[in-house]
Amino acid sequence: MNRACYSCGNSIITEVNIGNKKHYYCASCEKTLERFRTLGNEVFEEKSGKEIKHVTLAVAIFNKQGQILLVKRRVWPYLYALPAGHMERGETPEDGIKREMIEELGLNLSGLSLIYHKTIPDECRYGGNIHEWYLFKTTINEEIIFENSEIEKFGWYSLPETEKLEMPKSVRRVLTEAILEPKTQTIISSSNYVDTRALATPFKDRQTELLYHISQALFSSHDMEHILNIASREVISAFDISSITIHLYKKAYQKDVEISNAKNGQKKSIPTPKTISTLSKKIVSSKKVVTNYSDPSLGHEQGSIIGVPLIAHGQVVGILLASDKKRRYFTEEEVQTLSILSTLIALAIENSRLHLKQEEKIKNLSELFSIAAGTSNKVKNTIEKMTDTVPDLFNAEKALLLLLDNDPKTLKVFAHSGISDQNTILSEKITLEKDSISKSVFETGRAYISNHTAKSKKILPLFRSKLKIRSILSVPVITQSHCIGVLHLINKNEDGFNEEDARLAMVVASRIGIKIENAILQERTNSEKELLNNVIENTNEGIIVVDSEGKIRIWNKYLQRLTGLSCHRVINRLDHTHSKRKDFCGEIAVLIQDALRNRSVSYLEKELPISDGVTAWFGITASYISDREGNLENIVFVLRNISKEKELLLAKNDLISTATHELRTPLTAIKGYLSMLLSNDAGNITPLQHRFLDRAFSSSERLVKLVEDLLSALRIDENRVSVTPKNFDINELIEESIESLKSKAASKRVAFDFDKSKHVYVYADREKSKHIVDNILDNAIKYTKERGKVSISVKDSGHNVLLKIEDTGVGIPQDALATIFDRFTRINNPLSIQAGGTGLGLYIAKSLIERQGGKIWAESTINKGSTFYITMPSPTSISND
Amino acid sequence: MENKEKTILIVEDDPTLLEMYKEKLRISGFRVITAKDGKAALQRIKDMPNLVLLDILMPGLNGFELLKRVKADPETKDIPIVVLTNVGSESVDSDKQFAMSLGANDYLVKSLNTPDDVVARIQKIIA
Repeated sequence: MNRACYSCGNSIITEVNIGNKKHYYCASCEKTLERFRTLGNEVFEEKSGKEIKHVTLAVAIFNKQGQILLVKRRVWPYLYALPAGHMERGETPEDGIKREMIEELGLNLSGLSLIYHKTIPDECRYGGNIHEWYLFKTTINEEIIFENSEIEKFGWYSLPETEKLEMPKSVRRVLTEAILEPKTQTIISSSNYVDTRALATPFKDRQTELLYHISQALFSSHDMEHILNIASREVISAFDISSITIHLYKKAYQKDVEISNAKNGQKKSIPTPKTISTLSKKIVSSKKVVTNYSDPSLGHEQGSIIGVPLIAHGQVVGILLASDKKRRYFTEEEVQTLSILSTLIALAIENSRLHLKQEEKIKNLSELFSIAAGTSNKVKNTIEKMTDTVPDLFNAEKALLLLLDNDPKTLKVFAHSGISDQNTILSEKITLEKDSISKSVFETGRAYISNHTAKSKKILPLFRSKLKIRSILSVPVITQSHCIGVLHLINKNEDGFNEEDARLAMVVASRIGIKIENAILQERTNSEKELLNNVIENTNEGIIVVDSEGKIRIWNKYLQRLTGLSCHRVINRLDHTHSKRKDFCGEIAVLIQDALRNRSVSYLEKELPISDGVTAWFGITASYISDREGNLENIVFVLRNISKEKELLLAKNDLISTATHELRTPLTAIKGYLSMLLSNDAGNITPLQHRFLDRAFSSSERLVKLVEDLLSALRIDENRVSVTPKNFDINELIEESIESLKSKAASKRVAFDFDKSKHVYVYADREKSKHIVDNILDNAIKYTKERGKVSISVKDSGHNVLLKIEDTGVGIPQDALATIFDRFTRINNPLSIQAGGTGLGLYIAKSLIERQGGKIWAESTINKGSTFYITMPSPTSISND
Repeated sequence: MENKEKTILIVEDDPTLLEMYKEKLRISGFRVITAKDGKAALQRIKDMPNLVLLDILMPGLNGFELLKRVKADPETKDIPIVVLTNVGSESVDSDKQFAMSLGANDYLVKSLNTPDDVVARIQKIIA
């Protein structure tokens, strides 16, 4: 703890006891003090109060002859017993005081003559004072109006007794006379000696309260300037000093911040920039409080400055300079308090700075993320915007975003910030086959930092030359688990990139990645959606999609054109339509209701009205779409105009009817007459005639059968053939069939082998089954050589009955076996050609058997024979005989 | 012959077939009256034949219409009618059923049945 002389600031001191207090003076000042003391003067304790001017108007007394002014002037420093500046200006004391009264009190008095002058040493806790008393007389009769607003009222200043005693008796007499004058207006003395401050308690006790009070103020806000203003004002009042300057260094705060506050009227006490810089150097290097006294070289007029470093995180971030116009010494407690205060101020400032930084970051981040969440679908645009905000976020110069270029081995510049558009780096492609920062970041998925890029070998010469990199932070851009690019941050404005930056950069890069991925997916989805939409809208069929409640979701263009109604109008109509309306929408409404109720509707043909009086046939396919749990989600209806098909069908039916009729008629005549001849209706015929006629008759029958088969085949296609199953004895049927083919078999000497003793029942259409059995037995005989055998067996397995018809015929080649049941298939075989037939028989047989729920198939060996199998269902419990 | 005094009305527009059936029926001993179309048939049916062989496809009034009318007339409703036609099919029940529902006694496709078959069927019905 440095002690300095109260008076001159010298450091070699001795202790002096004055009254109850200890004071410190240097040797020479002590001598002077002693000298004054021995003059028999008392040392007064100053009534501490607000800063008083050098000149104090003690009393102004008016009387007839003019005024008497008793002026008390406090002199600083103690040693200079004369008004400051007198000697320099070459003034007499009288002139000096007059001047000062004019300057400081705003008095302009003429005819001022000094009656009495006395110098009295005084002392206050802040150092030595001298009070000088001047008694003037003026000749001005008018009331003096003081311009200095600080001096508001005047009156008889109650001089302390001791002071009164100091005045020589003669003066006292004059004063008294003046005072007793009836017309004397008493003017209370200058308010410069105003209220005493309650510094009754020692400063030390006040310290805690002070600190608390100030810290409340300091941490009440995040605004740095606000904090500094509060801080300075509080310190000024706490320490009773003239001014405060807080200076923050650019390094810490990105720019120099300087706040200076001064007590009212004390602007001059603010230190000059030169002072500040000199002191700063001292403080920064020592990191300690520097107190200084009126070093003229500092340019501060005999005042005191105390400089306190502001330290945050172990580093000097600024200084606080407290200066006082009067020369004085800052006590140990004061210095300590100021130190603590400075720490608080530094913390508050640091807090504010961090808060500001955080807010900036948050603002930047949210800007970044709001771009990411934005609805802009232009991928590149969005990413460019995002990249633009990146340098600010990290306090870096440039950012460069590289992404894969349609090729897993090359990266291309996708977006950039802080780089001139002319820079050719932007058109470069970086190959991932050569070693580089991009390659290692891309492959390892980890961030890379280099703050001393001169040493780094990984930076491509390309980058180095075109971007002037000092420091670099590179992070991978990742989507899901794939790396799609690299984000480079270049040249941090302050020291360099750190881990925190790296972490944040990873986050930012991943957001970019997500955004790209989303945008790509979105575009893909959109284009797929577009495609789908195009298909639905432009197809030449009507498409209706309804949800599980029957509400229309899609009503495509085809339908719009057809009905003249758009989707929502249709919805309205369908809401109000049930089955009442007979128009298109009405029919559709019914259709939808049916489909919803009865989930098995899949295809139907309906004639629908499309405008007044005009109808058309539509083939309507209904598809049911369910979710994973099987709940119905949507029904899709496809409507196809089948008017043409229907027309064709009608035409075809017409043709068939006409053709069959036309064919049948002459055939009837041929067959009829032949049969009549054979029946001897035209007279007895010879055996030869019989033979010839018989052959003709057979042929005619074949023709007739062909026509019938043709008609059947055509009709089967139309599902017009009805099947009426019932229970009957299949063995009986087979017996009938054999019976009808007996003569045919006999002519080829083919024998039947059939056990008809049992009764086996089947559930099928008897008539159709008869046709089928006839057909197959007929084939069996047809394809069996002379003296062959046809064996028939029937097996009942409970569910079905299996019919087996085996012949010893020519057989069917293996590759043809699959096709014999197809329409118009005839085996290319001499015998089969000879045998004749339409090629339709088996096709018809298969259709009919399958319709009854049975199966038909064949096995065969060439030249050995064929076996035909037929299954028919066994009688069910519901028998309708 | 048992068929004496049984009169058959043949309604048939094709002359060849008409001749053929007429001859067969005569040979079989039936008395035959004929009509070439629906209008003529309505006239001839007043002769009250024992059975009518009815073609369907005819100019003017078609066979089904005629069938309806004959069955609707209380005088003629009991005359058995056999539809003898080259339209439709014996296996497509709808054709047969339709005719039966109108009151026909049987349904034969001309080309599938010889004249003998037809005579046999007639005898079955009116014997």
